[in-house]
Amino acid sequence: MDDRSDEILVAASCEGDKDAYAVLVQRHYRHVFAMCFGTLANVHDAEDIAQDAILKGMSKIAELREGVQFGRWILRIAGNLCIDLIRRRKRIKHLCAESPAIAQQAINENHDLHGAIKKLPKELRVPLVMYYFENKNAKAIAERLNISHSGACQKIRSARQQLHELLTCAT
Amino acid sequence: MDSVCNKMKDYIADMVTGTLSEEDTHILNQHISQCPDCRNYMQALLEEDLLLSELFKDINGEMTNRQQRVLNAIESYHLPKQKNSISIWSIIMKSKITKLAAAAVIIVAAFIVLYPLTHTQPTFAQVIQPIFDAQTAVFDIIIGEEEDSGPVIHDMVMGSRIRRTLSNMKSAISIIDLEAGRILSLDTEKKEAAYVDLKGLPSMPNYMEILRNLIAGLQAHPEFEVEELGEREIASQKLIGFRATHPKAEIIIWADPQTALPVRIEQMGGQMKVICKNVMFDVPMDETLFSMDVPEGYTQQQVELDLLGATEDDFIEGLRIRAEIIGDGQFPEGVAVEDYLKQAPAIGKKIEELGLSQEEETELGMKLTRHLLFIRFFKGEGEWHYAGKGVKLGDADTAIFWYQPEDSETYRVIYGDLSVKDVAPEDLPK
Repeated sequence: MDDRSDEILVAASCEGDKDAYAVLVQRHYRHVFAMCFGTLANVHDAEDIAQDAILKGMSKIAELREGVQFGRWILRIAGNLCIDLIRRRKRIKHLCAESPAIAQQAINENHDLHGAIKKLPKELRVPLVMYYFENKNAKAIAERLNISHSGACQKIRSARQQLHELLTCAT
Repeated sequence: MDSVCNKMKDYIADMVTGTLSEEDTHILNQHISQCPDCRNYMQALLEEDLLLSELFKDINGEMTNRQQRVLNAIESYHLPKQKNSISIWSIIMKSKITKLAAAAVIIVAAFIVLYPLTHTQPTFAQVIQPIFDAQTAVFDIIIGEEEDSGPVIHDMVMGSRIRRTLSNMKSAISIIDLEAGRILSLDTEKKEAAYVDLKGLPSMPNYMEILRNLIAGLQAHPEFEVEELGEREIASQKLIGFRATHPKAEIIIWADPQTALPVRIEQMGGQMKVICKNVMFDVPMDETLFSMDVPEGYTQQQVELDLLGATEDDFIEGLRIRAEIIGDGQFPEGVAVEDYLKQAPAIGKKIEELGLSQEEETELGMKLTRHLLFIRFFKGEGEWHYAGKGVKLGDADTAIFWYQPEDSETYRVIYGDLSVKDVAPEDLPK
């Protein structure tokens, strides 16, 4: 286990040390993936965008002024990439009329947990997903998302309540 | 369900997520013992919590593999050396130059074929006469071999001014004023203009005079020879050729046998071959194309270029930049001007990817220009030799470049770690 701080690892990465960046990835990948999954609600998309975010972070690492902020910085990159993807998809949706098969699938998905998570608003889904990825640690979520602890608790609570509504309404 | 139950629902959600205070937990427990609805609600949320935990456990199960895939991607990903490049800036001489509007290649391209090879007297008068008489000319220039699909330099000449464009860098235009010793470099895409003052070169004659010198001036040399090459078909055109040579230069002129107008001129100057083709004389042209005024809407910068200042150190610094920043740690395939011209668009793209500040980009451009000028106006004895293709920067055991400076008995040999040694001719790399 590499015990160098994020700050030192970022400085080394700036000098082209790929191993140092790999340690940062091992430390933060889970959070990046959680952010992407929380935003996109799709494992495959989340994996793709998380990877894109990690690589983009690598190419832009020299722009990060404070190495200690790497965790938040890489999440911000991931968040922006997710939004880009959603926008692109929306544009495509505008261009192609949604097929009946897809609409039917969306209704059926109400019955399963995954589908219900997907239906949560993004601002609730992200904290909820991160909460379950972060071993149910609301304080860690608050730090990563740069919100207050009580704010994080409130979002997780609302997410759980709305999820229950979605699951029970569908049955 | 009353308002108390609504409040308890919040407590239940908080309790399930482990964020409910001890005091509120006590209140909730009391309520639950009396309210079956809230009890059911809590039961449902606890079950869902289990389901959610299971779901994320499944997704999490793949996390190690997922992470490994990202780590593999990192391994094969090229990491731009932004801060490395910054460390290079610290050793780069700070200059007052504010901006090179065009890439270094444009500036260097502006000097290609402008440099008189020798000063002597004219001969084979019939073929060269149109060059003496012409007021304007249009032609394409190729550096190196024609088949190499390198860039084509397109020149329009009017009096002492040249309008020069490159086939592989469409947005770059150089207007060269030979009398004033000045170049106006335009980037039509970025709407940037730069005046380049040519310090260091002797005042250059009218372009037509240079051509005259180039093709006709060899005669006075005692070892000057003209050889008739007879008729040959080049690019579907039947042409008649003459080869004019002396020990330091060689020119081949191909002319239309009917009109005696030259249509193709091939010249060897040092180690650089220049093919000038599709030559046409006295083509009507709009004078505004040669204006040295900055077009409206362009931002303007001033650049001074000291052409005689290109030293071995400048050349080595360029090698470092080309290996470290552009070549991913490897030296380029070739260092001749024609090699650089071919790589120019890719180099331009790479520089753009570095996301440098204007000042850094300018300094990089200047460094590369001086690096190229060392080769373009090579002043050593005989030929230079390059063997750096594929050699990694830092390889102290491999010689990548050697040459014999003027009036020196030994050679200067540059190694892969960019160290330099004086080496006797018999000890040169084979």
